Order: sequence, then C-alpha cells, then structure tokens
Amino acid sequence: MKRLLLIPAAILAVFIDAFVFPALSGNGIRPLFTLSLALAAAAATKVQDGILVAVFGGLLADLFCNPYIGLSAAAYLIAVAIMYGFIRKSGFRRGLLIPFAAVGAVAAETAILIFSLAIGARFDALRLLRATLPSVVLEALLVCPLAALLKSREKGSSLLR
Amino acid sequence: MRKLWKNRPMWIALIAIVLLIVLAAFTANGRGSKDGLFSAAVTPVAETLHAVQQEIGGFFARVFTPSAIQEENERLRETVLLQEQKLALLDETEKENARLSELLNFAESNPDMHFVTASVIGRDSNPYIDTITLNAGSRSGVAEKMAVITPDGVVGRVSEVGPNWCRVKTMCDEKMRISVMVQRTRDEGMLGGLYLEDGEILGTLLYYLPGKADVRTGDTIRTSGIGGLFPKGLYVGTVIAVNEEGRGTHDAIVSMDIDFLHLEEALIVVGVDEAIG
Repeated sequence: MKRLLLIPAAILAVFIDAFVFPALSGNGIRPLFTLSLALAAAAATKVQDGILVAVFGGLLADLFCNPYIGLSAAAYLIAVAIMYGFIRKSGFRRGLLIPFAAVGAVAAETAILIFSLAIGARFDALRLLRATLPSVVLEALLVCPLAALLKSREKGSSLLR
Repeated sequence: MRKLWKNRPMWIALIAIVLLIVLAAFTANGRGSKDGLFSAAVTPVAETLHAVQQEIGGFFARVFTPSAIQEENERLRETVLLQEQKLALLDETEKENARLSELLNFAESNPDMHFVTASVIGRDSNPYIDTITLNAGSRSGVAEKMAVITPDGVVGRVSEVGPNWCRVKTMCDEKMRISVMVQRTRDEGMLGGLYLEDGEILGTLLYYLPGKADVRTGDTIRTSGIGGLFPKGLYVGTVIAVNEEGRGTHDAIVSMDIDFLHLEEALIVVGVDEAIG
C-alpha cells in the first residue's frame, strides 16, 4: 500500500473519532479509531506506517479536537511501539494480533491517564472501568479488520505471518 | 545493545514520543489562552472546526440514534402538552376565581339577601337560551319561583327543582314577566318578551309604564319587588330605545348585560330578610 494513502486514511480516522463515535457513544465508551488504524498499519504493513498514522493522526486530532497538542500522538506512538515490540518478541504470529493490539491500546490509554493525572486531573476509577476498558477492547477488536483491509491493499509485505 | 541501537524506527518513535509529551506538557497550560502565537494561529481554526464538529456530531447522532431522538421528541411533546394543559387549567381557575369573587362581592354587598351559588350545568340548545340548568337543588334550599341573579342583572327564576339541580326560566323566555321600575323616576312597569332584530336579541320590552312616565335612553331599570318573586332593587338593564309612537305597543327597549350564552355561575336568592322584602 502506498504510504501516501495512509494520510487520507488517518484524516478519515480523525474525522470518525471527532464526529462519528461521539455521536454513537454510550456511557462514555469512545474507541479511538485513529489508534486502531495506527496499530493496524504497523501490523499489516510496516512499523513506519504505523508511526506515520500515529503521529499525523494524533497531531491532527490534538490540534483540532483535544486540549493538549501532542498527547494523542505520543500515546498512539507508545501503543505502536509496544505492540511492535511484542509482535517482534512473539515471532510475528498473526493469532496474537488482538492481544498485542490490546496491550498497545492499554499502553496508550495509560499514557493519556498518567499525563492527565500529572496535570491535575482527578482519578475516576468508575469511568476507567465503565468507559476506558470497553473502549480499549473495541480498539483492539477494530485492529483485526483494519489490518486485514490494509493487508489486502498491500501485496506481500506484512509484519505478520 | 548494538542491535537495539540499529532499530532505527524504534528510536525515532521514542524520540518522537518524548518530544510530543514535552509539547503536550508545554501546551497544557497555554492552550487555553489566546496570547501565544501558536494559539492565535490555531484557535480560530479550532473554534470553527468545533462548531462544525457540533453540527456534524448532531447530524450523526440524529442519523444513528433516531429512536433516541424520537423518544426525546415524544417526551418533550408530552411535557409541552402537559404544561399547556396546566396553563389552560390555571387560566380557567383564574377566570373562575374572578367570576366567583365577583359573585362573592355582590353577595357581601347585599347582606339582606341569602344566596346559593350555583354553576350552569345545562343549557338549552336554542339560540335564545330560555332555560338553563344549575347544579343546586332542594338539598341546598332551592325552591320553585326563586330569583336567579348575577351582578350583571336578573337571570330568571327557578321553574323546576330536583335534589341537586334546578331548571331556570331565563329572561329570554317569551312568557317571562317581571315587575320593574325606572330607577330615576320610580315609574313602574312590566318587563318581558324579546326584542329581536334580524334574529338577534337586542333587549327585552318594557310595558305598562304610566302615561306621563318620563323614560329616557340610558335610564337604569331595576326590579320593583311587586309580586314578591324578585327582591326589590335588583339591576335588570338599561333603556336603549324609547317608543315614541304611543300606546298599544311596548314603551321602551331594555338591554340586558348578561351574556346568557356564556353564563357559567349564578346566585339563587333563597331568602330575603323581612326589613328589605
């Protein structure tokens, strides 16, 4: 898949995060589609693609939708890096994509949480269980079809076996 | 270690993460203010996008959650209906309160008369409303031939009584006759029968005034008390026309202030103290 195509894909993902998921969200559950796309790009093609989506999509979301510029981008990058590390350690096995993506998503949400706490936000355990945890599960589940979609466009080069 | 160092993408990612977190920390305090150059550049775009986001988000919310919107609409519609009903009820109560206050004032200003207040519960379908039904009867002390009045004038007299209702023959009945007098001159006469013009009731007819009676337009007509059916001095109406043609017909036309079509409450005179009667 041509790397440039990931830019509009990231823009679309930010659009979905900003406009579509908030409208559909219930009980505060809002999966980060851009994060799923970044993880899927890293898993399906090259880790550089995942980094590209994470940085570009994250910064775009931060600039126009979030209060702290760079936070989402950093969180997405952490997720991609951690998932990539796990995938490497596992020997690039496809069957472990969802758990590794979940670990990446947890890392991203944890980074956002730690940053929020560091700047004085109140820790809300109930919200963590009721909204963040289901969001992480959905983000991990979204990675699979997205990775399959990206893989179908990219002939031959995938991280996963 | 060398292997780790050669993993260039990971190092790029790590550096990028650190830089991004520093940037996020840097903007954590300053993003809210519009003083900075960066904020000045981004804020207008962000505000515009925020407005667009609200609109688009609302659109998606409507598209994807029609049932929730419908439920909300339904709930709001019910609330509005309920509020409208409450307002209508309040309005109705206020009007009723005003009418009853008027009746009470009238009753208090006539301490020699004893009244039973009653509401109209039935009305003749004919346009002249010659009988009405009130929700007070023999259990409340109402008897036949009792006078029924309002502060606006004489309504009529009780013609039939049940335990908790009574029928009243109104001044619109062609056969209804009451003894009246011209307040200014004290000339006495008989009032009864309708004066119609193009099917519309303009007033009742005043008969049998003395030959030299000086009745004029605008004179007030009150009950004379003769015959004992109506207490003396009750307001009946105002002379709106005097018949100059002479005897054989009515002497004057008296307009009544009561709106029989919209009458809702009335006072039944159940007793009059002897000193007045």
